[in-house]
Amino acid sequence: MVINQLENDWPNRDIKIDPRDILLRIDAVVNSMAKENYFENWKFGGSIDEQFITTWEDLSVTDPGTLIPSYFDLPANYVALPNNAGIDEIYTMKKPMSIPILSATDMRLYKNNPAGNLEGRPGFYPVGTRMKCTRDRFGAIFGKIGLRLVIRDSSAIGSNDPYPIPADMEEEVIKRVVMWFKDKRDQPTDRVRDLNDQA
Amino acid sequence: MALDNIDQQNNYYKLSSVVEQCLLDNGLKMQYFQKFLSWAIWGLRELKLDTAQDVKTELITVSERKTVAIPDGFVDWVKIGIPTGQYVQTLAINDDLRLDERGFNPSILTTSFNSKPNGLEATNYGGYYFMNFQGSSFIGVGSGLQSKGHFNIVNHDGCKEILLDYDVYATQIYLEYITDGLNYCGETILDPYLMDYTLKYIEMKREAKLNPNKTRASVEAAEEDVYWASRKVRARKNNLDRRTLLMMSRKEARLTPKL
Repeated sequence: MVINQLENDWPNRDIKIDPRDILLRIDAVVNSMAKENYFENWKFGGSIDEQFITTWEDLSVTDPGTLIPSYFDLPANYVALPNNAGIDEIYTMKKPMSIPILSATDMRLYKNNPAGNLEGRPGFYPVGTRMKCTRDRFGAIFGKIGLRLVIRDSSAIGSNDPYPIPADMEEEVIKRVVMWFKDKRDQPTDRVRDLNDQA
Repeated sequence: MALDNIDQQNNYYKLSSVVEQCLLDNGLKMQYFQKFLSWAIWGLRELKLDTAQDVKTELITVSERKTVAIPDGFVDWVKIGIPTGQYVQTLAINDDLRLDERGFNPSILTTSFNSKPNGLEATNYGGYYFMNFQGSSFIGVGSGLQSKGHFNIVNHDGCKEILLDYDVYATQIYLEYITDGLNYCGETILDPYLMDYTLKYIEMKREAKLNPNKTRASVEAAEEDVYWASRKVRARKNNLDRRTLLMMSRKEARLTPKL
């Protein structure tokens, strides 16, 4: 649909835009709309719509050793939302239970607080692209985990599979992507590769 | 340690269950669990220290100087027991009671208990339950050692200690004491009377701290809900005291020898 609108024709041999660029741009637009959806739903007391969330299951948690916090690496970056809401949920695969998600600073601030031990539960907090656990030997005791992130990543979608977008947002997504490529195409540039780009 | 296995049984009166109920009510996720939990604990301590105390038993190590550091949250002690083999012997109960009220049959009190390393005489009976030890309770045999049950509790500017007699042989003691009853290292099981109060307290804090659309009226309405919930707790629960506890926890039972 995006190529059809940009080229005024269906994909053909003369297409100038790589379809992979279009997929990446669609992902970026959907992720920015996820943020808008979060704040829109917040007004009604809800959380982000399921269609903006990607789930990974059976992720292994690494146990470096006794008294050393366990950890796992995030498979993808997530949308930046308040209070780490971009990490929608972490849960155990064995007897599914949601695990508290903390922030790295709060984890230390709460050490002097009665809630610091989370009533005996393990918790995870992000440090860059790594999720660290508040206890050791998490993998040995609790096993693998499931992870839900607010992210749209088309690399996980088969080329013949439907792209999951909320039905009411399809048109808006196509419109934004087309506008982006049109603006980019309008930027002047020459085609001579001589280290001297002139508009 | 609590929750080493993820046991979903007996969920409904856990403090964490109330916190999660509040998350569900407000459409929030586990990012807010610790914040709501801290509010719930502060609210409960505020109520429990003067209205709804609880009793708790802990196993504490005796130092080389025959002192025992009392846990924080201590309000008053009830009884002290000494682990002896597979049993626990009551060292002393709070001495506000008269001597002739101790136990059911004072004539069978023995001070030769220490000479039996593996257990008790089968004919000994009578004792007290030690309550709320890691969510359970156990019986301490006997009603207190008359010749050895002496100690002092001293307060060094907030650090309280028990000073035991020089000849108390225990390396660890069980101390049952009146406290707020909260378990900071594991699951706290709430009295059913406190569930509604806890939920309303968290809601009040959430309204005041997290709601961007809060008004003075909405915060005051939430505070009023908490006030009425605490009044219900006060009407339902009596203040706990040593005498009530000792009466409740006395037990007549005959022990069987270990085969």
